Amino acid sequence: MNRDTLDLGDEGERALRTLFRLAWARRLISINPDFEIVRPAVSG
Amino acid sequence: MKRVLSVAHSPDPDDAFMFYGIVKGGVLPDGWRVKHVLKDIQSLNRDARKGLYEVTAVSTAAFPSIARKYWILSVGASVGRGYGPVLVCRPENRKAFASKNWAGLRIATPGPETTALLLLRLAHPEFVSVDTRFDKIPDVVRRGRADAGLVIHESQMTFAKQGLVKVMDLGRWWHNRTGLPIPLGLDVVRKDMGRVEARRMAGLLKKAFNSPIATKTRRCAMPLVLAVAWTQPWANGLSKCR
Repeated sequence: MNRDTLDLGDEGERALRTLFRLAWARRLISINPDFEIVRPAVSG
Repeated sequence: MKRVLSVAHSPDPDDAFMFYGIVKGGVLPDGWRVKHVLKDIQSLNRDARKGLYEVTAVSTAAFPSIARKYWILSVGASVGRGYGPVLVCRPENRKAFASKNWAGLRIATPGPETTALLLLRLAHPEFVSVDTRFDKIPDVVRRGRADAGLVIHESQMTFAKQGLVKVMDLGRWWHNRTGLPIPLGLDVVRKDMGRVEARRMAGLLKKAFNSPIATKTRRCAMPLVLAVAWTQPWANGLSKCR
């Protein structure tokens, strides 16, 4: 477990979008998903 | 009547450690009961398509096919920084992978929707994928039933003991190409829980993931040693010292 596990962060989100974009360009995935990342409520 | 929360993850030490606080209690509020499901990642990917669990681990590569049903949680991702799934083979087969043309080579892979396979397809589009349960891959390669194998989880660290050699580390390949970490697995939450509950779940999971390593600073009932012991049945040849 590393810090990314506690918070995917902006870099993790960028990595996800990059992976999906490259995979979609090669038609290795069915769609390039428009996704949302759910973060803990501030009081969480 | 207690509210049931279905939580699913794969039987590997990392996931077991992360979900210890949820599964063994102490993190969820009173009035909640956990339905704990352990399955290999390919089965979890299939189940997520049916929306079977409220919170589940999935392969990042499987997310596009479940994006209508699930949100990604900011916590619980399995991310490799300069390391990732490793392609391994027997020493005598190494030359075959020195060429750029891998057409016809048979590679044992952990499932059609795994991120490991997606990365390998991005790096080398042409090869024959042989679906193999992840923990059987080193043995399949050792016995010559595949030219190479794509190992994940603990086998990334133990393949050399089985006489296998590394062809490439896909986490390193990804980093060299993009400069980014590779998100291999995600925890996702079903959208029908609603945003408020989903955010609450993200907070509870963060608390659970922190709990085994925060025994001194938080009044938490789950010591690290118990959490580590809990992961051992799924350690697949790793010692507690690693």
